[in-house]
Amino acid sequence: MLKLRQLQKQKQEQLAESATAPERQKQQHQQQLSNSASQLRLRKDLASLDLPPSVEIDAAALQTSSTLYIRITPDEGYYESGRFSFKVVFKDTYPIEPPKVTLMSRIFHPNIDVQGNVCLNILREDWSPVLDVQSIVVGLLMLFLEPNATDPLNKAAANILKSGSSQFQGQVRNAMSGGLIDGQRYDRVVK
Amino acid sequence: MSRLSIYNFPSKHLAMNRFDRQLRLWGTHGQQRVEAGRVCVVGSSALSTEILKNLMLPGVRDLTLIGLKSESYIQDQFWDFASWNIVQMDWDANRMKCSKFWECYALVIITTGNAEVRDILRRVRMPPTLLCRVSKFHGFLTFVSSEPHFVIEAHRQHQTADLRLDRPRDQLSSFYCNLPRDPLSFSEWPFAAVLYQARKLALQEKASLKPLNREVLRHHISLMQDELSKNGQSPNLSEAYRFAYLALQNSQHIPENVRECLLLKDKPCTLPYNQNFQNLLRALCKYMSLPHSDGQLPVSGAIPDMESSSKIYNALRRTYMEVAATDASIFGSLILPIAPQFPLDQINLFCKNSRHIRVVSPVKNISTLYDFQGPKSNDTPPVLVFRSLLDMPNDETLDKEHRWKYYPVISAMAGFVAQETTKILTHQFVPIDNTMVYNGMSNEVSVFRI
Amino acid sequence: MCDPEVSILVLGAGGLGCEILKNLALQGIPTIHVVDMDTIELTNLNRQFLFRENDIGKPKADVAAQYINDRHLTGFGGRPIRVTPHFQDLTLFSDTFLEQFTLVISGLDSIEARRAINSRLVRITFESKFQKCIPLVDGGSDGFKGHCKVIIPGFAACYECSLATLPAETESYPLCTVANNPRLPEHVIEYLLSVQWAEAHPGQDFDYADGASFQWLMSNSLERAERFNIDASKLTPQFVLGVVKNIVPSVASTNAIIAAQCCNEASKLLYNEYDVERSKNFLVYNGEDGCFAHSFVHERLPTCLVCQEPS
Repeated sequence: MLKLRQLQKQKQEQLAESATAPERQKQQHQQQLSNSASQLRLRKDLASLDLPPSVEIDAAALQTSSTLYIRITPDEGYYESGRFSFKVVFKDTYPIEPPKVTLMSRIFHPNIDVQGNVCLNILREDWSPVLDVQSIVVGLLMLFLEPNATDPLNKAAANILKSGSSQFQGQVRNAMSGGLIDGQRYDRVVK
Repeated sequence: MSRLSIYNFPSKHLAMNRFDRQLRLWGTHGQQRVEAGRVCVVGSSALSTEILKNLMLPGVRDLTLIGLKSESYIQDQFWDFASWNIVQMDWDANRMKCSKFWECYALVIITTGNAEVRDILRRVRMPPTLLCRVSKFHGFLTFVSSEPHFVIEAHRQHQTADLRLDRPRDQLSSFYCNLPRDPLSFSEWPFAAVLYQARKLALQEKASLKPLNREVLRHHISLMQDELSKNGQSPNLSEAYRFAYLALQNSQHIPENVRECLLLKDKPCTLPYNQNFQNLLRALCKYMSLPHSDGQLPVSGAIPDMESSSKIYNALRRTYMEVAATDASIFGSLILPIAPQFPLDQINLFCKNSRHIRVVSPVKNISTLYDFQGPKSNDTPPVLVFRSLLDMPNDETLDKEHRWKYYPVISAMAGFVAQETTKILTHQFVPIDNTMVYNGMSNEVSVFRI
Repeated sequence: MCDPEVSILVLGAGGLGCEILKNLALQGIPTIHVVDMDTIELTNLNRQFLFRENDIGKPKADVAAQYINDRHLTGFGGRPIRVTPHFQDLTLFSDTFLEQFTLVISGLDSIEARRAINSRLVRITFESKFQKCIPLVDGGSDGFKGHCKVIIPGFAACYECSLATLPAETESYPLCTVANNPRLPEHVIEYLLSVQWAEAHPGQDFDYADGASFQWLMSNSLERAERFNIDASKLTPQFVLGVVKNIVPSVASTNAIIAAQCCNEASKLLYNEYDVERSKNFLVYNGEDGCFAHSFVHERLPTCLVCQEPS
């Protein structure tokens, strides 16, 4: 291991020369100390977030349970002014594996079932380590602005959407104020 | 986390097999070949011991080690050699100069450069043989056999789907033509059906002589989409765009790997596997001359997953399987006159893999290998390594420190030898064609043909 | 000459681990530690040659160490070769414990564990201001394929630098497919695990090792396959377990090749034949069609979250 030890010596000398180690470096180090690689990445994701006014992030439970809450209040579209909260659970495998995303309330939506499972390609089959929390936010926003009827999770919702947007709009309003559709009660998400 | 308790599962099916993890690679039929293969290793050394260990583990039951008096280095101290059930015998030139001695082995592995062994093996007719040597950071491995090595299950990683959209059998075209055409159903069409339709429209439309290409197909896919579906691009259409090239394949094209095999269909062969395989090749030639085949190889029957409804996809899958079954049964009727009682599962396996069959051409015999001259002036570094190892007459004895330092190279070579052995015994995956050189200093593996 | 003070930590005593431990012992390394939190199973025995059938149920690390210690081998400087087992989770090692090793060789099967040890070792280098630097040699195998990566913390690419090139460990399918249009047995299993299990057993994680849970999965899979007209002949317990546990095929020969490659890199490091700045640090192997190996220099990722130098 002599060769490596020599390189280490050189490196140490270099470091000694530029010795005025700033505080910032120490801080950065401290941060690295207490975090796993996946948490480092999550922090970076959160630091670089650029959120529209309709989205809020609650990271209070990130340290304790690796959980993030994304609250979306769409300002246009079928779901305008409904308040929707998604639970986003990260594992140590992040960002190799995507987090698990569930909607906390019952919604009438072609791509979200009543248990809150979300059918969004980037959350499953099209996930890649280059995607981040920002991509997830964008994907979720898109679900509200452009619900997709072609490959539905909630077939009833998809069929109504296909049959016409005004009818669909009516049912969404009904569901968002806590109404009943086909015997299924939905959660009230508007004031 | 609670630990695995497979043994407590109430289900009797879960009586797990010791070979489970390799059955997932080569199946029970591959395992049977591994277990039935008699393998003989010549030369006792650390390399031989490691090879024997790597063959004993996957279940090769009948292992023989022929030791030479001059060699002594076995890491006996490390291994429970006795528990491996290995037949051990001393090198005996008188006995071993007859081909009879060797013919019971499916494979012989020669690890020694001993002059007498060399001399005798040059003159005997040998079963398929792997010859390997190792020295310091380098090792080589050569596959020697007087007969070609055929493979039905090459397990190619990225196989293009076998859809035959250009010349579908009647059953397939009627399936494609009879799919419901309303907008709702269209979103459930598997991409193969979309491509079939796009292809048909494209050909109807154009009187021009421009060849069909992806752009034309994609144009027609989008026309179909506009006509039938107003709900944005559904996943089946994205797949159709992506896999448009599958509608451009020429189903009458016989791939190079298949033609290479066909060229050898009448080469005199004595190995039972090869005789069987040649019968399959002969039947294939007959099959190809039937009007039924339309000049196409048998349909494999396996299709990739496609975005679609469960119902339509299952129907499509069944149709392809039925077409494949018809092809296989016609193929079977052709082979039975050539080889009565030919096993049905082999016919099916062959038809399923007919586009992917392979042949490897080993070095003809050991003399050819030892006499390897070649143009010395422009040897690549691996060939130089190969030459120096080949000409290294006696097995080198290293001092302790060097044995320690270079042990991993021996272990790696033993891994390569065992891997090629299992490929040769199972006739699955493709063995080296036909010589490889390992350079443990530069981490390079080079394969070339002698 | 090699320093007799050398000590090596081996992560994992599975298919690669057994080979690595054997190689190191026959390389004359006197001080070897091995960590593994698994116990021996029948299906290990087609490749994990330090174990016998009557070892089933015992900790892998203990049995592997015992096997080698019972050989009474002698290594560098005439020292006895001694393997110390650790039947535990490797992420629970303290930095002080890790710092005693000359190098670490890993034969793990999880990306998580590799990332964990990688960031620990990089941190040790940075924190000690390059006084310490413990190379990590990482091996992996899957069927006839494998890889070997040499990580010199702070000097060459670390494991995290190559993260974007790694494939996801498990295959996943669109939720709408598995929910409404399952076509493959895998779709059926995925729906049961990702949706139906949670509905039927709120707040409880699925554990394949629990007999009742596995039974639930088996019988519901068959039922769902039948409902959607999916060929259920593939849905054997072996197949279902393979999907759930993400079992990869594993053979002795690939493990021998990859473990030897790892130990050979270790050897080159120990005997000063490894060029830290120029050696090809990554190698991928594929034995499915002939014998293919590609070795190359993987550069450090300047923006790597783990090994980016604090500036």
